[in-house]
Amino acid sequence: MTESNHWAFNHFVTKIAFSPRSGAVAFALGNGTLRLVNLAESRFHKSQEITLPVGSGGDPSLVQALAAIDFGPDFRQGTGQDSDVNSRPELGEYFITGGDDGGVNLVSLAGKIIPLVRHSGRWIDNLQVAPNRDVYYSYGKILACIQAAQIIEKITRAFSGRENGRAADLTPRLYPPHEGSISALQLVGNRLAVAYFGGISLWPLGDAATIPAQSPVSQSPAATKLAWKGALLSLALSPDGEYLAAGLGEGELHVWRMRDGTDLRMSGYGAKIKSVAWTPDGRYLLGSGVPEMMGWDFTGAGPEGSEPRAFYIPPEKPALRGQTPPLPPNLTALASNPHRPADWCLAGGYEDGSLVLIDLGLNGKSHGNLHRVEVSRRAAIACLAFAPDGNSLAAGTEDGKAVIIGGGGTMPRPHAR
Amino acid sequence: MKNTATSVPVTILTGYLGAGKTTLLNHLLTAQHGQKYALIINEFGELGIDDQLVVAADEEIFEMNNGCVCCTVRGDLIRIITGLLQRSQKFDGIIVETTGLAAPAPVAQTFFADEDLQQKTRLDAIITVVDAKNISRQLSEGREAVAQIAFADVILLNKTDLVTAAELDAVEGKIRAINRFCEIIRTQEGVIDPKLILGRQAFELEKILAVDPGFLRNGHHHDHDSEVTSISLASDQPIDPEAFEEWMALLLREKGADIFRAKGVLALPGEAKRLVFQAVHMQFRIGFGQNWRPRDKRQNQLVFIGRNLDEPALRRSFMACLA
Repeated sequence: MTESNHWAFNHFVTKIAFSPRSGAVAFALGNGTLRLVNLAESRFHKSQEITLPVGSGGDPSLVQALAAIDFGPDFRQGTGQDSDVNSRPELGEYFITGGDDGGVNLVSLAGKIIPLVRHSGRWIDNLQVAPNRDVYYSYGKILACIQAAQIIEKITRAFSGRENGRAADLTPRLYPPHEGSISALQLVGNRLAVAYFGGISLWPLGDAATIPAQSPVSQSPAATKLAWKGALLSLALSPDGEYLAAGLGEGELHVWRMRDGTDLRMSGYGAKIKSVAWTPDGRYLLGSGVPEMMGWDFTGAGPEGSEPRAFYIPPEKPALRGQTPPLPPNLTALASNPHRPADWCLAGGYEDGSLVLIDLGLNGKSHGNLHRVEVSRRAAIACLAFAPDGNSLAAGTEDGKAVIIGGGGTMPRPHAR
Repeated sequence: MKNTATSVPVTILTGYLGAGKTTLLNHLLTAQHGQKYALIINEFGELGIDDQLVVAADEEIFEMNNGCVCCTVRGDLIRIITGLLQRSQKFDGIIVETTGLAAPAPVAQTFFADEDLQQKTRLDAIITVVDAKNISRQLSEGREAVAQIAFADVILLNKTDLVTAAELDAVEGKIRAINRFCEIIRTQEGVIDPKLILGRQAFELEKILAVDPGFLRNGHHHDHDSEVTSISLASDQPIDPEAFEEWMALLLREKGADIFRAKGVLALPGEAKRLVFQAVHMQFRIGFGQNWRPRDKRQNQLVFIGRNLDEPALRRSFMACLA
């Protein structure tokens, strides 16, 4: 997986998403465009540029939230519809964007834009697609949901060429305001975790079959709350669903055991923890905001009173003459390979633009390999994502550099020691 | 230490409801200055702005470090400005409007306390719009009006056409009793040259001190109407930066709740650049500013605006930091 393809987009890479089936990658950029890349299809690694609708004041609207959704054969089979891939070609893979113009749009892999909703004057900060393809998103303190059936009906209208296919006219289901602005969404089994300053609310996922779109939320069970007075910036669920971890603005990890709501704190991080990740086997929890890629061990008695294990420590940089050596760079982004058993199971992005892949030997074959790629020489890694099949990884930087490692049929294996 | 050349200047605009903030904003943003600003406001009101980026914020106050009131920040601003900084289109500045009754502290502290904003933005100036006709009453009624004046680098004394010259002088006297180091600009209907309030680099302290260099000599000024006062300290002898930083850290930890603002320009032994210092309550920042020019008098200059300031004690500690 160590072959790298590099791009220079020259605009802040705000978000990255992989399409679930075909492995297309969307990079959202600081100039209000999306760049689509599909290494399996493009021999020349060309990217397709898609300009999203212009926001307020004639400014491009920036994508603040990005996800992918697939209405393809698997989904249709599961819902008892005609699963022939050729019968409804428009019901395929899409990216979903949430922007600072308050718009939520579908973007097809061919670049067709289908507006879904628009909350004027608001920013869409987070997006999460539920297993049943309902789309949850947040703006400010508000959580909203558009149901799969609404989106499918919208796609049908858009492809039939009807006038109202181009309007952002879906009616979302709105949840009551949370205590603070929502900073992260995370699926937790059949619930959705919503993080904000002061805690996490766990909402039962709406069942499209039983809850009509416009019904008030009071008809569904209320949220369970996990309270913690802090700026909860990032969330990650352990692969077995046992623990929910939050990275805090205060440089701490906070972890809840879902079974009984007991919680743990792990401090000592020097910067905001914007990103948290579990190793694919669920054994270790890592947070950004420190130079070391280090994991807290959750096996046995758990991490309490233990020292974290360091998987990678960035090399010290030489000091310029007469000066103190520069501080080692902090981790800015982390990602865990969703596919098990994977060779490269963890990726860490650094504020100096370097990207590190770690092989923990979870496949039983190799152990302790590292792969380091310089994505940018001057700017931090802003976002990271593994492909759903675990065969490639994409990263983007604050100065608009991007890389895809692996994919496109080239997946070198780590060398066994 | 950060590079001021690449950071985005932030202007905080405060003032009571009805003082004329919206009129001023409309004027600033429609004036043909050829600059691009991002404007963060409380709610979309009567702003008639078409070619500037306007964002509405839901005021959301976080307490950093577990509940210390002096470490409150505006979470919504962190989120919005982090988003704005991802844009390819560059801004000449960001203007943050605060609600009429809000104390400016959480807004100002946000730019000191958040690591990303600290790196990518710099607080350029706090501008307070004052209604010349109503300020005397507002000062006697609430602490917010006093705080808004104490925090200001620039005060726009607005609606000057509604009061007599004598009343205007009296109002200026009241403002000066609280904050001797702000610049007071008299305006009518918010009409002002944007250059006077945007991109000021107010913390290149000579601007503040240029208001009246005499302040630095006559030290303490006291007005019994108000418990908030200003004092200044100066010395021609260079300062030991480590001793100074240690003193500030201790002083602000102990007395920061009472100190609204502290600002200073410091001369280090054998250093070509000025050391620039500023604080809001317990949050402070020190960094190198411009070079000393040949005509400059290399001098340490320090001002405090706050409650219960013990001038002799401050002076003693300051003198102990001299190299």
